[in-house]
Amino acid sequence: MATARRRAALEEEFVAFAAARSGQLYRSAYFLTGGDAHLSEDLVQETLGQMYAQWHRLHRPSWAGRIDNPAGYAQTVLVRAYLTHQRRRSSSERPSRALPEVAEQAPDSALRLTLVDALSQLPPRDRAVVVLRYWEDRSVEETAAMVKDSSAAVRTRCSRALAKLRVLLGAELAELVAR
Amino acid sequence: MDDGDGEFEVQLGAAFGQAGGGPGPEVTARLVDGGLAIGRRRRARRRRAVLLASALTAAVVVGAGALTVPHGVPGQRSDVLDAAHSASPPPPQPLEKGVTVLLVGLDSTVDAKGRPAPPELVHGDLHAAVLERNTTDTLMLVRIPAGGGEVRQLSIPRDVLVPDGHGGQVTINSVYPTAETAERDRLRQEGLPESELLERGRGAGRIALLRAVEQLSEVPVDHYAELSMAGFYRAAQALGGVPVCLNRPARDDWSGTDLPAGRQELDPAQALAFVRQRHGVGDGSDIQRTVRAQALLAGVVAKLRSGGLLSDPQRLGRLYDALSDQLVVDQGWSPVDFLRQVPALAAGGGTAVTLPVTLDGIRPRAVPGAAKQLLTGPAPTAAVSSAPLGERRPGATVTLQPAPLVWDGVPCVN
Repeated sequence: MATARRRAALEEEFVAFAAARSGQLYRSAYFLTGGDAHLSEDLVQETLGQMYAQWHRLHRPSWAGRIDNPAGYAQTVLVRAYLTHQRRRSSSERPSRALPEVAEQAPDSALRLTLVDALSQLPPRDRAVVVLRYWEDRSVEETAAMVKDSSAAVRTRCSRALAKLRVLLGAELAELVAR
Repeated sequence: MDDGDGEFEVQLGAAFGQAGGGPGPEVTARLVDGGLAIGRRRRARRRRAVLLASALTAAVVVGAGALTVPHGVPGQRSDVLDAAHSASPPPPQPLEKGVTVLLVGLDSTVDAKGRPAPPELVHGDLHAAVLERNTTDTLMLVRIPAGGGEVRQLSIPRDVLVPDGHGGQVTINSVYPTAETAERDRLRQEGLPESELLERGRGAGRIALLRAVEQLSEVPVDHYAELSMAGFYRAAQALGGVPVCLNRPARDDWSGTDLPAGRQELDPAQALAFVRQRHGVGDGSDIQRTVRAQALLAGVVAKLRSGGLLSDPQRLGRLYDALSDQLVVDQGWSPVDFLRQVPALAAGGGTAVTLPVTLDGIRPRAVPGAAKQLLTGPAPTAAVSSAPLGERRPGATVTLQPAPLVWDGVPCVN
């Protein structure tokens, strides 16, 4: 049946996409969650699940809501999933100084640990803005659209977060990056 | 914002880039499987709505399909990786970390959309006859380790023999055009319009080449990038001169090379001649010529590094845009990744090596296992043993391999 074949083709396409993009999504989630490997995996799986459900939209014409850039779309889904998760749990959870257990096999580099440690001390929304701006290389406007905020608010969050990161990381960052 | 803030922002960006290696293969597999399971559950709930939406979409697509135009993702996209990896034989086991890119220089004067290069470019600066058939004369594997570190670049001589799938052997540069021609002939017989033949034929060529390279090197390829001669020319133009250094003056009418000794900046036409010159380089074989391609890539990296281009994602993006009609990259390679991996390429030091071959008569064969060792093993030492020409005995096998080229500024080559 033609639809079955088409569905199989879509699924194959999706799996290839998921395999290619999950690394980048996972790393974004890792930064967003301040180094929580388990939560990162959950968020990425949730994101990929949503992408799977939306996958047929890649093949629509552009004015019918086509997803033009599935990689970028997935990043937006991930950031929003993270923010939703934060909102739901914010009453029951307090930010923690201690890094959660790392589920990855490879040991993290000193640079990654330092960075994640500093990120984990930012409020969730500020952290999301920093990750989008400096890890995803998004513009202020793109970031604002992704976190559903105004450009001005994103700028404010960004400069506040940068000031705090600068205090936390200071010269250490320059030294680690240079290595 | 004062200067200190700007500097801190740059450092932060660099820190993210260096800290950003992907997870291991087990984690990736878990993520994909988990995502698929969640997605299937979700879709089961939504199926009715989806069916309605797809019926509407189908009606709309039939009506308006002809009007929709390809959207503006930079570069031409190819599903080469998915296609090559979905079929048997299975691709080599994924490596633990880092990214392996296959760079292909296509000796074709037709761009990625099948339009011929302007005639003045072909007969003037490109110094080429109009070729109907593509050959892949430059083949490089570049391995970028996760989180920075030393980049390895392996050149594959174009005349290396690979199995042709029917028990015979062919040179690796003919794999792409052979598969392309076969697919085009097959599709033409099925009655497909000529306009579709070119792209589908090239798709088949890419898949065949990627498989041949993976089989030869035993290293899985993560990303694919293909640049035509015309594309190469435009890239050199966008860079605004590529620095190289020659030990001796180079003059060769075959490729149109005429360059003095010493360090110099090549314009696009000169850069093209520089990599294509074979006569008068080393022993005149393609094996020595690979060093020219390596030197040019080192020059491009040096240019990227010195020009401040890398710390400026927007300018990098513009370079990428300039290539949008010329460059073919795989679908999974997002511009974000591309912009991050290119700096990694330039930030760490690197070593360029050529796949060693043994000469069986005049036919070069790859040394088994050498490619994987060179790309992923410990750093290559200086020159690998290479019997001097005078000691070649008839019938004996000799191993040929140019000395590794260390990426340190602009290396001088012959």
